[in-house]
Amino acid sequence: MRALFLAATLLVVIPGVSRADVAQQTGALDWLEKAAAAARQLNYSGTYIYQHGDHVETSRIAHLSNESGEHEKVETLDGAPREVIRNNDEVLCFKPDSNASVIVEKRRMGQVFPALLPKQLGGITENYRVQLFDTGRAAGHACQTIILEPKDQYRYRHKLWIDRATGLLLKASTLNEHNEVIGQFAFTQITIGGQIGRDLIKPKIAGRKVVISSEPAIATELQQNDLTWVVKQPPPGFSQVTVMKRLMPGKDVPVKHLVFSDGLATVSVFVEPVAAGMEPMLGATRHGATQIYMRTIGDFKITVLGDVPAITVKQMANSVSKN
Amino acid sequence: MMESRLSALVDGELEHEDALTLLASVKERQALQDEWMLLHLIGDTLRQTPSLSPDFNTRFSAQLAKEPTVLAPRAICHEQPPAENRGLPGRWALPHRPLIKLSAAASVAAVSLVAWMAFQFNDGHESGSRANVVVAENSPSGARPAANVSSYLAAHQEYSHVMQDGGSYQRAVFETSQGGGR
Repeated sequence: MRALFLAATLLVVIPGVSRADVAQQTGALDWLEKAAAAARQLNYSGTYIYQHGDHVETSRIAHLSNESGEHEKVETLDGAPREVIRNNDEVLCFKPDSNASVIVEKRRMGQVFPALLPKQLGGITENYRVQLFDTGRAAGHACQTIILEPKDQYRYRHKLWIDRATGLLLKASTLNEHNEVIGQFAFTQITIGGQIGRDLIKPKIAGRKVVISSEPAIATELQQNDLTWVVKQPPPGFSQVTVMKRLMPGKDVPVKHLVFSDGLATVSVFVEPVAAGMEPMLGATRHGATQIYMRTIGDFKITVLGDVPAITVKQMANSVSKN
Repeated sequence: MMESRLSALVDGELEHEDALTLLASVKERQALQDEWMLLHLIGDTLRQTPSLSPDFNTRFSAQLAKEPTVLAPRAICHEQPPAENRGLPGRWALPHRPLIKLSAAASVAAVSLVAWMAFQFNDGHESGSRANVVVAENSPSGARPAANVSSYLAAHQEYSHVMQDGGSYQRAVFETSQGGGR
């Protein structure tokens, strides 16, 4: 009886755990699951913008899902021409160079808009409160909006516009602690369903020469037990996804690259020896929604960057140590 | 238009007569030859079969000069079933849509054909018109100075959702040196 009374008091006093809230979160979670699946399973083609800081980039996407899996082409419509062709996990990047050649790069790349949500939503529900917000419109479609409210100060807030008819994510904003939009993706036009012609998912960039640049030369995945450099205490909710050695333009020695994720946001940690005669740039800076923090440990330079608040990259950098 | 028919040819989707007509025009137009080469390269890359070595065309041409065999499409010409057998089931039934299959299994023959066409075309024309295949020895073209964040952004981007063009990276470098307080 006393326990029941206590429980009742808690329900009244702490709105965070009210039954209504739990039910609401479940409804919101259904939308998230729907959006994660729709981006992979539906056919669609359209144009979207990516805005970050004072830059706006426009891209065209065509996505085909059939018995052989996912096939997708994303091409930039402004700035340098570039086409990214994805066949399931295989990603090829086509770009022209100054000598009328086509450079074909085989590379790995995270899922791009509208497939921003991972298949496993566990990381998101652990680090964000998933809330139904209101109804809205994006690219002419009626949408359900969802807020991903961070549970602490180590990540940003996200607002998602999900097509009520199909579940496809049509717009996604990242907001900082002052509720200012610091980055957003938004379809300006989209056709969902129907046939996607093969022409739409083939590369169009042509040139006299074809230069194939091979990914294995650039990054080598390391065994998880490679523990020369570790992040002793990553910010809460972030866990290591992978570690690799990679060659980077203008650097003689390979750079170690550790990747962390909280289920939605990604943070990269780079470790490399300080080049002789080079005074490394130190401290905090940012590029659009990407925060950057640099420091040195002895003769090594640590560079941390991610689409997270400044405090997160700083804490990550300060927690790097050599075993 | 031409490009999409070429792509259909590479995928083995063209009728025999159409294929021959198209191959004839490929022989005459450099742009189509380049496109043809690219389509096969993409196919090979997607299938993870090894690419042609850089001097493949040269070596092939030299060998072909020594041993002038004509690799004509006619060699894979189909046979029509005898008129009286048409429409019959069982072992007499032959395909109604015989195709020149140039993808996957026949890719070696197709590549040889490309090289042969390049060779034919270049014979007596300016040498620069050959479609070259270069395997890059190094990482992407834009080797830039060490002290900037663009390469970190590019590497990080492989694991985040953002697809930006090179121009942004250039701007990023500029911004950082402005805002970095150095």
